Amino acid sequence: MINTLMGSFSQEEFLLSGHNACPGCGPAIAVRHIMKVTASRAVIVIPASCWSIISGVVPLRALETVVMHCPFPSAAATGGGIKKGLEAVGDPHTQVLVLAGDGGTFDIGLQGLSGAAERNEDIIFVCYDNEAYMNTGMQKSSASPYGSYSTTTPAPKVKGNPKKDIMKIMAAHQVPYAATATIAFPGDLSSKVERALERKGFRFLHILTPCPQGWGSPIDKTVELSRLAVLTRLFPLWEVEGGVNYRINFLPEEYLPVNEYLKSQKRFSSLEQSQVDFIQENVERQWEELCHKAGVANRFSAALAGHKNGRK
Amino acid sequence: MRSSGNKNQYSPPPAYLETVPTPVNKTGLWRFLTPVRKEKISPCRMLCPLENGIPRWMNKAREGDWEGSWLIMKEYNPFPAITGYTCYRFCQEKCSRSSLDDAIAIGEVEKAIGLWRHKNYGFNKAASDRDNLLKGREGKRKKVAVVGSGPAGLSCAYYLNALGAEVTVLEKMPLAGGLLATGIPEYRLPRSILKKELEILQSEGIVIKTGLDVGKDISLSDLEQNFDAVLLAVGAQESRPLKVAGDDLPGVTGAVEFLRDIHLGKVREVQGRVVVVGGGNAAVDAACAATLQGAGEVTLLYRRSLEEMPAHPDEVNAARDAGVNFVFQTVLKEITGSGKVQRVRAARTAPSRRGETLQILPETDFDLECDFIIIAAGQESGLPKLTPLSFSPEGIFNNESIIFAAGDALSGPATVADAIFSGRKAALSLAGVLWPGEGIGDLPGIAPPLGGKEEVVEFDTLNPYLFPRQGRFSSAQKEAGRCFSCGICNGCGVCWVFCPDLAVAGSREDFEILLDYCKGCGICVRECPAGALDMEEVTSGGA
Amino acid sequence: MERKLMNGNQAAALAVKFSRVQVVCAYPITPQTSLVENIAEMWARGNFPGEYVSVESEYSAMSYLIGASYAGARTFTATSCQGLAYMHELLHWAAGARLPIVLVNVNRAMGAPWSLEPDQLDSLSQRDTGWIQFYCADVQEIMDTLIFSFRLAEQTRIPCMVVYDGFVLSHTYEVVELPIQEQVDAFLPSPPCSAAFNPARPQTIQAVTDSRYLSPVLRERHLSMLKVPGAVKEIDLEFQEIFGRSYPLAEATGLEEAETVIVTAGSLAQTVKSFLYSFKNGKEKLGLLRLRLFRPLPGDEIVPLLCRQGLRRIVVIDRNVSAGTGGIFAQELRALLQGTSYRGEIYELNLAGGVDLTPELLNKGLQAVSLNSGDRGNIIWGVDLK
Repeated sequence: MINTLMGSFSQEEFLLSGHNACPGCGPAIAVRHIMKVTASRAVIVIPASCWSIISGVVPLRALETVVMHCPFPSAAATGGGIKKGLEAVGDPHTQVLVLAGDGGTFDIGLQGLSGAAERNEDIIFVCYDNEAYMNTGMQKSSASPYGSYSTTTPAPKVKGNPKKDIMKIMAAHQVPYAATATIAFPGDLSSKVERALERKGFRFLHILTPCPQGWGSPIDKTVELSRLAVLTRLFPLWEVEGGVNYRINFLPEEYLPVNEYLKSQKRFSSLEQSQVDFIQENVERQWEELCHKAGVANRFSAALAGHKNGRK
Repeated sequence: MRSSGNKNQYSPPPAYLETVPTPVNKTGLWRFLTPVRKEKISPCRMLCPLENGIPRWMNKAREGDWEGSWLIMKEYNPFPAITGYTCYRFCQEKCSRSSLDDAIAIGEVEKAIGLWRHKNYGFNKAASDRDNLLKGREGKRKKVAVVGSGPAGLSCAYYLNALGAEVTVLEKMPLAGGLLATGIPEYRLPRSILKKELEILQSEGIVIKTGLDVGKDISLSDLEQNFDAVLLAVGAQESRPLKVAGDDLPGVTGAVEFLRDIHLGKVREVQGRVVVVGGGNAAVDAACAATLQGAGEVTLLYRRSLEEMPAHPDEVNAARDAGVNFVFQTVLKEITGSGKVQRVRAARTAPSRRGETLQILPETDFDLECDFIIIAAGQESGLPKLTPLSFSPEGIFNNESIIFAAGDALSGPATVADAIFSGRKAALSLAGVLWPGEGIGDLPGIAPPLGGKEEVVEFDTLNPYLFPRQGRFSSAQKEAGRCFSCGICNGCGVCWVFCPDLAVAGSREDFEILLDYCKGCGICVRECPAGALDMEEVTSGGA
Repeated sequence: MERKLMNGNQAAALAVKFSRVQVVCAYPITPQTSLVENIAEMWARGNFPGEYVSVESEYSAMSYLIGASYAGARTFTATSCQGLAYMHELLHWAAGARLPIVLVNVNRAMGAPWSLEPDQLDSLSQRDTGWIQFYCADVQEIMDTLIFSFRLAEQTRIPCMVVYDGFVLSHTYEVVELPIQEQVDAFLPSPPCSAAFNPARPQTIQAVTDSRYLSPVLRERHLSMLKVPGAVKEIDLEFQEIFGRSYPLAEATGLEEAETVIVTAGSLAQTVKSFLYSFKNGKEKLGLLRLRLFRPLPGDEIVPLLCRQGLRRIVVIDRNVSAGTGGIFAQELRALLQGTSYRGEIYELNLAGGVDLTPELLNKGLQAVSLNSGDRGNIIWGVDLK
């Protein structure tokens, strides 16, 4: 029996084949599954990002819904405005889903995102996170992980700071719903989209979508990397309601070191063991914190203790 | 007073351009490598003595389609209930699932299919296949005599009957079933199972004649004259003598004979101390049987170590549980007693591997008091007694011959599954003789043996991550659901789920790769939990 | 008809209410603040028919309206100086997307340094964004132009910016004749794009294009803009019929006999106008041309007014300066008169930084003009005349 996190999916497609995504595109898989759930219930707002291209350059159209493009930093506000405008013209039902990359979420979009979250705009904000500006050829974003290469953090000066924790920022806004998801767990992803659709107010989905072109990974490993990110707990699957009720959706059974995830990506090729250790330590600390918030036992607490000892 | 005039009407702005759906964009042109459906052999099938297409029927069992699983099963194994009970489950040894949690209980699912068959044998897809075959043939139905009603004979009889021959099985014992009736202990194969299997075969038109000893009651040449073909599946049911002093004393018997006598009811009770000599399944079975028949103390002597024992570990463990004492690295040198067995003299051996020359250690002799000795030092084929013909390993004498051999008689003592496989191969050979021109590879309901060049699934091409860790289920259907379906597409739809380009059409077994849109990323190949897709350079066409 | 004393921001807020704006989204900034406060106050008390959303920046305010306008709602925002500049890329977007958004910009000097003076560079810096721009001269005009702008923007699908001087108009009280709601409703029908889209009817709005598609789109925008003066005149007839007031594209006073014409915009024109009456006793005949519709600049209207024999001098009063070029209205006028029959001089009196135009200063300016050549770049700085 295939894992329940695989789920069962509608046969109907709202992403059309022939789209412009690169071979092995993670964001394409994510959007395909998001739209299987949202179907004709939502319109889509896209700020500058890979999806500006994937959704079709004129005259092509790859999505079977209304898609509105908007300037890079403006997605959250534009989305809120569309929702408000729809209500004003007598359509309270159509949902608005913003589809922003990590740049449009973590970096240039953060102010508008925070504003919309604080106002509890009635929209779903989806960040498909490929951890750098991939559409323009792999420039660093604040979602780029520690130790990763990009064209603006070239070796040996690879990114020296950890990835911004956008979920904590969102949780701090006490939004009705915020969740992480990734393409290797499409059932989990779908159910989170469904849960988001069922709620009102500001809903945030942080979806890790590997980018083989940017990450320097084999194009067939997109889903595998997504899975390894979860299994190594670099990207745990969890959700939080109202900034207080935390739930971890997938508890890895076995300890898998982060290197299993890092090793097949060229962007991490300059990492030294001490840097890998630093990443692992970060994972252990954040996992401990997450387990604590979710009220579950950390079955890997020995690993955390190991790092604490190592630091002495 | 709100105006409803038309003064504010305007045409849409030019930026709202007419759009064209992207499928006009044939992104398949970007592709270098193409996913191609390529089914492979599962490790379980590789290890199965009868090359059973396990994942295929697992996939039907998973859906609760027992009829479907039986129809696949019978292409490989017409007696899943029997093997479900008796087989040592070599298939489970390298089950890919064991690297995730626990091997699939393949034998249990097989048994469940067999037991379903026992309750539902009236239907007949097989019969309609046979009717179709018969319609295409002229003249009288071919008649085949099968000598020996063991698993090899019955297997061949089953297939030939299904392929349209009139089959008569001749058995010299009063009970049909060969070793199944007279060799395998009741606790390993309830006789009701065998009885049911025989009942089904007879109901499907096979004639089974017991108590008819070919060579004694009827000659082989009589058979040759009266039948279009003859299969000799007489087994290897003669214990090889140990050839030590005293082996002719009363109280010395062969293991095969001992087991047979128990099953025929000739031996009802064993009293006193028993020594069993040998390390094969027959030895262990005999030791167990002796214990069950009331023997006071049963000691099994084996000349090498436990690790070297040819008997299946399951058997050894069962014997230990039954209270059998095992004495390893020990050979029997002499049997003594006045008028009957009283003791044996044995000696220790140096450690050695099977096939190596045995070295008896000097001055290690010791005596063991005993009342009964069972020799299990190998069995001999019944063929030489019957015919001077010498058969090839495939059971064929020569191209014109209508006499074939199969089973233990051909190979020496082997497992039930080996015998069934041998019977199936013999049926295919016979079919080639009986109905030349029908192409034995295309016959319905019978799987040809593997050619040996098939690709076996490598574990790292599977995707165990897609499965939750879980223990075995007692429900056969649920247990079948744990199967990865190594090498065989079971329509799980993972390729469809993960395709970024919507280039997998259909999420079932009959899915198709849409070459117009497949960009050749290979995610489907990497993610396929069955390893049933490969990336290949393809100039045209595809999966 | 009710007459009420109110300032420019209050008038604008009331105009927004009368216009049945559905979504107002704004970020407060001096001197616009009391405008949005007025709207918020009405909204909070249930006296405002639409939604008022207070966002975290002007950037988001305009983004929000782009969204709401995409969806078909009638939208409004107001801002000033830095806030307008912060909206800049979105002003382009709104115009490119042909969204009929209406915006009030209360003129204030762009920093640095910080200043609250009513310099016009903030709105003039946005002249190429593709927005219609009106410069208002009094409080009544603010109210009327706003109501007018919703009609104009929705009819032409070009966003419209209504501009007035910070403090001078935003905070100065004048008597205003209020319309009644029925009049406004008769003039301004409900927004035309309700149910503009539906997910079941897929479309892609403002997707990436190349020059084959983009160039015709830009040409269309240009041609549509050229039609705006005609549309304004046409709508004004209706406006006049309903409200009894009319507004020209550019307001000419005493041009028929003038030897010198002062060209300016906004409240400066009010000062000049009062000066004209007192100046009647002087030797030189003065006229005034107030630029009201600045984008598009209605050349067909303006040029004939200025190409008149006997007109010797044009003095453009700018309260802005494009560093290295000079006053922007002056620039525009020079460009407009290039190749026409006008042979007189064009002088610039520049009040950049919000220099207050008093009759004394104007007088000194005109004296300075008579002593100076009208060469391009030879600017008379108001601040030097004090």
